[in-house]
Amino acid sequence: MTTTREQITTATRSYIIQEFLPGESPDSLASSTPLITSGILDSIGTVRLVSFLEEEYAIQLEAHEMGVDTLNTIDDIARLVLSKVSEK
Amino acid sequence: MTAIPAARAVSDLSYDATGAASSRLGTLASHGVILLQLVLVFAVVHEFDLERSSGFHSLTALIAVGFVIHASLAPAYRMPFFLALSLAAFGVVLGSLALGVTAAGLALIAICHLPIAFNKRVALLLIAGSVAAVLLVRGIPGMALGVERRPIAVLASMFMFRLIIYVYDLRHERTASSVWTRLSYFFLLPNAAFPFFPVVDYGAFRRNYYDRPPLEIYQRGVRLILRGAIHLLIYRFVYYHLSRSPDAVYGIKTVAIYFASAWLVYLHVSGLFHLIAGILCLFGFNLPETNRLYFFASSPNDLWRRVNVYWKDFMLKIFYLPAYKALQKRKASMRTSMISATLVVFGATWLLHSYQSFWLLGRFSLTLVDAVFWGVFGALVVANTLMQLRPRPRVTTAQRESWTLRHAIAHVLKVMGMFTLMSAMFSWWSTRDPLTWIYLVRSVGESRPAALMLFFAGVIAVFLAGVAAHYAASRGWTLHTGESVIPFRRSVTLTLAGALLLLGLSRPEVQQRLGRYGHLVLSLERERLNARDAAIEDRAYYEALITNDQPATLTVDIRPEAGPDFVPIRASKAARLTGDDMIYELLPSLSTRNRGADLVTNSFGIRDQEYSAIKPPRTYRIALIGASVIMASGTDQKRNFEALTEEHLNREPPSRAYTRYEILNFGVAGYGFQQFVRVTDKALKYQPDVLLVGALAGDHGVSYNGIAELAARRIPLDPELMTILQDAGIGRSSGIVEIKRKLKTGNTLGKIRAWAYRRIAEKSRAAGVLPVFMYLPRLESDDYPPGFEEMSADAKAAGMRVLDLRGVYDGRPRADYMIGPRDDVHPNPAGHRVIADRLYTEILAHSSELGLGRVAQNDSTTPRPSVTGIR
Repeated sequence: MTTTREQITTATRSYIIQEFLPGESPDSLASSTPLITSGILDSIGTVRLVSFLEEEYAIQLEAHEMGVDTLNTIDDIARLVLSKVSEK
Repeated sequence: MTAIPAARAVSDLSYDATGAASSRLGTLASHGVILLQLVLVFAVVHEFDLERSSGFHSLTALIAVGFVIHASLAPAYRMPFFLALSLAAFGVVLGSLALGVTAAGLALIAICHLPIAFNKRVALLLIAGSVAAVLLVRGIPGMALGVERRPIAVLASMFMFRLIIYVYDLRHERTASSVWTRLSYFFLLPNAAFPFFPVVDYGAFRRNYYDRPPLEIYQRGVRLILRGAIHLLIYRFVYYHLSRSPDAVYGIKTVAIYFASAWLVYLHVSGLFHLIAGILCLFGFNLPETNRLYFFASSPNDLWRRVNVYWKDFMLKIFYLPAYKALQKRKASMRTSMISATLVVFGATWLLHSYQSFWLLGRFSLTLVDAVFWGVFGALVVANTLMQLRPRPRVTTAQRESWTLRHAIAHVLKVMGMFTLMSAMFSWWSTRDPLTWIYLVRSVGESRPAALMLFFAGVIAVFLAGVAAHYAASRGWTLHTGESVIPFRRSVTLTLAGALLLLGLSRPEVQQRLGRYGHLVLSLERERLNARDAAIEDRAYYEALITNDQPATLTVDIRPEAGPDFVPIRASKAARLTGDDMIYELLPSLSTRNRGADLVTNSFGIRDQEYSAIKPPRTYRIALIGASVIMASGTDQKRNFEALTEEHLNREPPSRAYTRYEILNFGVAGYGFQQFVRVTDKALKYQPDVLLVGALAGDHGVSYNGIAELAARRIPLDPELMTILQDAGIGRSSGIVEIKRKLKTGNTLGKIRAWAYRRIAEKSRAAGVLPVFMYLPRLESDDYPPGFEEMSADAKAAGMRVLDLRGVYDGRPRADYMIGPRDDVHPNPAGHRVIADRLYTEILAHSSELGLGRVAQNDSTTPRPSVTGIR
């Protein structure tokens, strides 16, 4: 089954809301909302998010892919995951 | 966790992409407003003498003018202009050495881009680093001693960590940067004055460049500079008025102040970092906040995220994530991987702090105290991480933000606990000696009940204030603006008000009206060492080793006047250890430099020209003893008061009875009362007519350190001195801190002073020499106790004639006579000149009592003053 960008976006948003922003409406978390630079994700949160993405999509992220440049927004995350999935 | 960031506030003057307003005129006006604030904030920096010795003052005009030109340029020219401005700043601070720094830097960057395999480039960088390390240890050929450390420190500040980050990012770079970006990343203007700003993330540097409207970034820059200045002023208050030596600590009150001040001096670091980040904002580099309300951290992890954020990001990128992923690939669990990676981070932090010290200070030391500090911090973060990983009931943002008393109490207790913990850890770090630290902690148990009650009342008051502040914050009643965008006009108003308030406080007429608070503000206006650090700079070598005490300041000191020859004389190659109560003495026939001045000893082992061992006929000879001011630390030999007075006496002789006048300078820096007694024996061998004791109130400080050292090492002392120490309760089992504390009680130092003057006078009279006491006021303050009355009373009681040089510095600002901001104790050549003039006048005024103009009846070759009837 093909994983779409929208599916990744939705799943990631749900995970972040559930784990890091409980009680918030998914609509309030835009795809361009900064996650790391705003403090929603700290280093532990980032590691947990990466663990979720790796399990969910059976991919492996490298250390240099776990920074602000690649994981700061849901858009960034979707782009990265999609590229990893397509590499498989 | 945090709330989802709200939409940015719409300011009353919009921060649009072109600058501020829609018209060119509006942009110019906005930039003018920024410039006005910048000038006022820099005026605060100058008025309060903030970071002058770093060279920052010489850069403020360059930064202000550079900002105006930079902001008016088309975007494509801004980065090259910033690079040119940075290189100009290096030239201003380093002079021609900037060319070498630039060339070395360009070579390192070129290696990163050589068309060879990545591993080979890394190997070449390691070789280049090794060569630089050897040069740092052995000195750069052809370069004068004392000047090579600063350019290397500036170079190191730009490359020692940034090169690691750059190479890492280069390997994984997805979008290319311009050559200007790459060069500007390394050659950052603020590093010219501030080498202690080594870590900047390359990704953040690129990502945040003009990532917001220019006016917003510029305004943030001015605000950060002002905030940095305020941090530095608060730091000064803590450093000057709260920091103290461990031996001045005993009981709950002083222990609490000692602990808290050890942590509060971190304001120096955060102040500098704010200042630097603010300057970079003026040129579009909208870097993240460097430190954020770290005194209010509520857990170890929270602190790690708030304090020195750039370091945390560096550790995360280079150590934590690679270690974590490596363990994950070995199928370790997430928990194990995270804990192990955290431990790697703190181990690396320990090692890299020594690596940083090596490059900035030229010394590499891995100490147990540092290991314990970082080990405990790492263990706390690991424990905190494990707690965070435990399943916990989910707390919604709404629940978290709704105020409850229970939540407020828990939060305030956590913050207070964290502050206490960090205070204890930083006091451990600055005390350096575990036994001393434990002694201080145990002294709390001997506090008076009233002091304990007062302390706990203070804790309760802070707790209640914290709960109230927590409530106020929940209602939005807070002064803290955070890093969110503040409307332009409000930001300008706050910055102008802050700068004008500080400038107003710097005015003498305002300070006069404020009474004691005005004095307090005045005390913050000058850059200097506090009493503790001044004592560390000028005290006994072994004593420093015994207590292993460290300066209270946390930042590295690589100011030009703190060159390699700025070491206590006893630790320099000019001295040798004696193994007895003399502790050390100057080596004979030596030529070297110390504290930026020449230091040449004659064949007697004194800092003076050659004299004949046998006094020539018709020569009036004065043997001068004393400590560093008498030895003229920091002033060239021919320009010190002893040489000038001698020259004056020979040029305009006070008496025809003598054809030649000699002053032999037996002064040695760091000598105290017990050494004055010993050096008297040496001086009397050269048949002086007068034994002149050059006395300052500061003699008590060096005596205090010297006697504490001798007692701690159980060196045999004069029996009378031993009795004084025993009467003070100092025994064979007393440790250094206990000895020092007891020396301060019961006027013990006063008794030692009286003993020393009596012994010096007795020895002199026994040799037929007139003992004379010469009082010099301290340069930095007349109020430094004990003063003339107490000291001269002991000298008179011992039978010495008294020369009173009080008021010698009157008529000109004291700063005109000081060596520099780092040294406000020792006179410069101008200071020595006024001392010499005054001493000559005093000798003339007391010529008959000093035996001048009267040849002794029984000795036609060596006329002598009367040694009797002199009281």
